[in-house]
Amino acid sequence: MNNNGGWGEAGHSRPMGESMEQGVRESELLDLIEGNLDPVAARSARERLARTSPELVAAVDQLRADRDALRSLEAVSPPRDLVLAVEPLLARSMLVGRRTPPWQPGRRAWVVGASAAAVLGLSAGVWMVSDAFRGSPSGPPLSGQANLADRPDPIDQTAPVLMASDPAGELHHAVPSSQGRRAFDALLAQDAASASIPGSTTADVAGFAIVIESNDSAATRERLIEALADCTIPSALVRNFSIEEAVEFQRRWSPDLSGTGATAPRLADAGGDRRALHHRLADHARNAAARALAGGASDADAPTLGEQLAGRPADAATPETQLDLADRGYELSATLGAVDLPKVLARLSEAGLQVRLTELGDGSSSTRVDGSALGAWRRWNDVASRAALDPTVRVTVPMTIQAAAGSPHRER
Amino acid sequence: MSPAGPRRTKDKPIRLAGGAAEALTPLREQQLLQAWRSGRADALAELLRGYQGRIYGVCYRMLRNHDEATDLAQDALVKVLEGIDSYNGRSQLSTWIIRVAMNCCLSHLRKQRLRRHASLDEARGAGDGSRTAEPSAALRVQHAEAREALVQALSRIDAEMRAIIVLRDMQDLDYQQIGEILGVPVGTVKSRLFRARLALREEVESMLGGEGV
Repeated sequence: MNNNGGWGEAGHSRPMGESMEQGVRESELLDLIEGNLDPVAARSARERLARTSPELVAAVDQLRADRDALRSLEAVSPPRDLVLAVEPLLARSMLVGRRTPPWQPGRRAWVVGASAAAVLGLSAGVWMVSDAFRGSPSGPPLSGQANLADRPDPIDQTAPVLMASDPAGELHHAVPSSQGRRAFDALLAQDAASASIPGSTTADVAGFAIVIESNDSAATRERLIEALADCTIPSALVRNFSIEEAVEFQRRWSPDLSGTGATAPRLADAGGDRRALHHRLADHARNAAARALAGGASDADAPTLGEQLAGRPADAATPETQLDLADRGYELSATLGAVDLPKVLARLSEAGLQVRLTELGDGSSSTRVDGSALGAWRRWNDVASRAALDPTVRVTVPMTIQAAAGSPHRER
Repeated sequence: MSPAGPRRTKDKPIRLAGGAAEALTPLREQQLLQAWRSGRADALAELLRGYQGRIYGVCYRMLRNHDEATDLAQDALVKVLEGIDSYNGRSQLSTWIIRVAMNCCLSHLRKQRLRRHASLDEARGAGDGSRTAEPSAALRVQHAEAREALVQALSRIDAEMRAIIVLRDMQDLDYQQIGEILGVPVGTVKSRLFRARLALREEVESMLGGEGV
């Protein structure tokens, strides 16, 4: 502590620390500063502090004054349109996922699925995701109508979720609670699911992957979705459904399709032969599609796994691709036009994300996304050259979000 | 005196240094929450509007930059919107919402590797003018300069220390609430608050060359 009663060289709080050894605890000092002591206790603490050093009393008074000054700061006013900017999301949340109006009569709901591939035999399918729906009901269902938005039983955050799309493309969520299951079964019985089943994309898988460094996975996905929204060719972003999730889904929810003539595909046990599972899923999908054709369905395209994050299911990567990429550690697949990829990379960079391109599979020879990196990816595979010939060519790009480089902030 | 600071009256909103005056009482908040859960989207919109001042205040005081604070405040609003269904009522709604906002700020600052430099946002008039009843202009200026120095110093100290001061002095939260927001016990809150105040004063002294203010 210097002669002027200051804070010591290098700003160390030595005087305060020393006071702890001389009868005034740090907690009392804080209480003095915060004004938490009654007058008698405060006087006592100050007297003890003064016996240690008068400068300490002055220091406490200074800290108290600092506190009072900060508390007297005027409030800052937010921009007027702060909430306006998010109100569209509010409206969207009413339509997508969070709450669903009761199913309307005559609405044809079609669902596309994977391990429920047998359902395709009934010209229906279901999107399966492993994130729980955290919604609550919109109200009691109309009589006689299936309501996929029934309040779920205590929400199991790892339970799979059913998603259904209506012909307008609006997505609706449900948790396969007992009520949800009954609703789903009712949908099947309604013969409402006879609309076309979206087909799988025929996009090639790029020979490279995109690695995004970020500690905020959810925000990064949002930036990705925003970047894809600017694509000129229809694009899609899907969270790849892994083998483990497929197995887990099978374990948790096996559709009761007795009497329908359909069988659910059997998934390998965890640790089983993934390649066999991979092919078996595809086989089942093809078989189910064939049955669907025989049954008069209007479309026999293969089902699609995964969680649709953006775009249409029809534009998403095939289940085989998703499983394969998930096995390699890429939790996302973006399918987009090759001509759009440079713009997407630029948008990600503008959003402040650190993006690397890596060769698919071994993660080596990464390149940062900047002017030279954009050139590099063009050299890596022939997609760009094909794009020059055919502006509609689409590519599936594996993606992964990894923790940002550099240690997180440490508590002092 | 209550460790929480000035007493709140049950139905009267208090004015906070970190945000605009709130129009929502706790009762109204619960009504809006219930209305939202019953299907009224406008209820959540009203709730968000009621909190936008506090959310923005937290972000602005943490970042000292209007544009960044606006972006983060919107991110926080989105997170509130997306997560409101998971709010289980164990903490006060205000605590939960401020926690969302603060986490956005701390996450953002970590990405920027912390240690922001002070910058005045003159266009917005950061509101650091004197509000005292000092009789002389000279004293008013002196107090204003002292506040300005503190605000600048606040932007220079460690982000987590800044957070605790913002929550304590500008959001008027008690130790328990701060602990819930930062995810630490009350004892740790007190210890960190003490050290944060020391660090802030040391930063002011450093900025001013060791002269007292």
